Amino acid sequence: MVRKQTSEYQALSGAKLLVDTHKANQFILVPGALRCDPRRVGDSHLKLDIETSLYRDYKPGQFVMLRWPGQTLARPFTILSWKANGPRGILLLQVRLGSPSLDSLVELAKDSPVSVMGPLGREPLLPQAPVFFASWRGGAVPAFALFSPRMKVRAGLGSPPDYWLHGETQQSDVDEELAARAFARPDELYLGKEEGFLNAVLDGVQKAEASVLHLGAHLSGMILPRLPQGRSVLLRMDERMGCGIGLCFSCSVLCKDGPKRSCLFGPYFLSDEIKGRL
Amino acid sequence: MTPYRFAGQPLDSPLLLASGTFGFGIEALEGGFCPEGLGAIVMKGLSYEARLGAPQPRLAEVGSGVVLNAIGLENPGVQVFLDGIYPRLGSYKQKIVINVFGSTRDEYVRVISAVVESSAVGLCPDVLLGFELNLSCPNTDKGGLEFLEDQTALPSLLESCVEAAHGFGVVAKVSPAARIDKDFLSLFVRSKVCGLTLGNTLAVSSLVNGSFVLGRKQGGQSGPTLRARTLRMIQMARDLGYDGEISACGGMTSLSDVNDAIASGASSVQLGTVNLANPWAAQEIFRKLPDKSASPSQ
Repeated sequence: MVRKQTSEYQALSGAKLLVDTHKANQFILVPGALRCDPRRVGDSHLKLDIETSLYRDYKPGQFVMLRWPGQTLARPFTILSWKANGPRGILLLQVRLGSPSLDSLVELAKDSPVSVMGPLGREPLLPQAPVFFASWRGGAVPAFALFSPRMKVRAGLGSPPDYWLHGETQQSDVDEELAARAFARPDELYLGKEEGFLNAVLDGVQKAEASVLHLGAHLSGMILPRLPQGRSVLLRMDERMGCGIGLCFSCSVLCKDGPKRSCLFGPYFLSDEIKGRL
Repeated sequence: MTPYRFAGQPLDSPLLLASGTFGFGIEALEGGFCPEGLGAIVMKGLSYEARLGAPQPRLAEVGSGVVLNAIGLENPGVQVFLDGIYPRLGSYKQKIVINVFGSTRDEYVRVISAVVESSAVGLCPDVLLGFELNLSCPNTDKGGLEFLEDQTALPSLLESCVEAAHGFGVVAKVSPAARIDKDFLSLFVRSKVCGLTLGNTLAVSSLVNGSFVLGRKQGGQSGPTLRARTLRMIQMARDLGYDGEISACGGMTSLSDVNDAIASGASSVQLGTVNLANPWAAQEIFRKLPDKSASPSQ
């Protein structure tokens, strides 16, 4: 047991893994962001434009920890874009509503003081070949953050497009704006129950050279034992985070060589390296 | 001369980072975090063997400043810490406290002995301030809270740990639900621990709106809601004549909390949940401390 637990802390000649992680994840805290402009998108989504006092370069797939008034802890949200605006930055986040813990975010007034820490997380390395993306409900946002820059590049190069299968239980939960930008074909939107969606995802994984799955923690745990071995499948393991920077051990994922904090070593993991959810 | 102390050692700052809220320190230090204004970082709890920890989800904020957690003391085990983490801490000259957990008295002793006898600590003894015994974690099936509630086993545990520490100071971390009376305090005085950390997370149910919000039915409550209880425990201990060290822990988030804890009789103050949202909280408070060498009034 002790030997298997060592991997996260192994020296790797001076814990190079952790050092590299932190070089990639130099985190900043931007207390009292200058302006936070929340906008409703349909019934189920909220867009947040946050003017930050600093601009940081980021990689697709990374996230920030956002704290807003009334919250003790920050919450992770995928970066859709973070652009320079003079010395400052404009950070765009999109939030899937519906969880009671996000009710206070809906009430956020314009210009509310928020704090932002990031960019955090490791960028998933995707191949040149077409990738199969799958997302379930709230997973659409991080999936889009990866899919969208690739879509533009691949279109410009004339490369075969990636394929994205998104699942919802009902049409009214679909983010129409995101769907219009990302879903090219009717069969890329699955409306139905979880089990049927998982079967469709597995079908897609079998056909693709590489896959990236944004299914949420619950469905990720369900599909993991059914995924084919030896396939290049990245799973975004969205375990609940407390700090986003490896301090609290809330977000651990059980990997074959021991638990690893999703905020430091993820949030994307190869399916073959995961043993399961803790 | 500083009035602030922990584990028998003087502190340059009264501020510590509570166990479980700053990892093993190395995550932040190697990420460029500058440890200005910190008296010490209390390490995430260490057991002799590695622990996987509790099932997911492990954390939930349920409103009104209430944070629930059931991390389950995930840790790589003391030997991995000594081999892979402690040596790296030495280069930052940051004092640390090792928080110790065990399911049995012997496990506590084995952890402490492993640390004291390790070559890593032998090469760099100045990093280690002392030990904090976790006697009150609500997130385990065995050990922790049980020892605090068993007042026949507790003295033996405390004395064994003090002996194993070979001169390093030992502090006992106590539940906020503990009954602070003369008999309870005298247990710690007789066993020669340096002092008490008042307190730990509060053992609570994780049932919210008909569902368990954590992977376990029971968790620990932390955050600002514990503040008043922490201050009351300190006041009670001092009013009963306890003159050992007291480290305030639980609900300490701001300069006013720190000042109130010191005014109540604390020898040091541990920041906890606040570190998760703002790892620089202690430094911000340190810069505003009115007189960093002021004596705590009792």
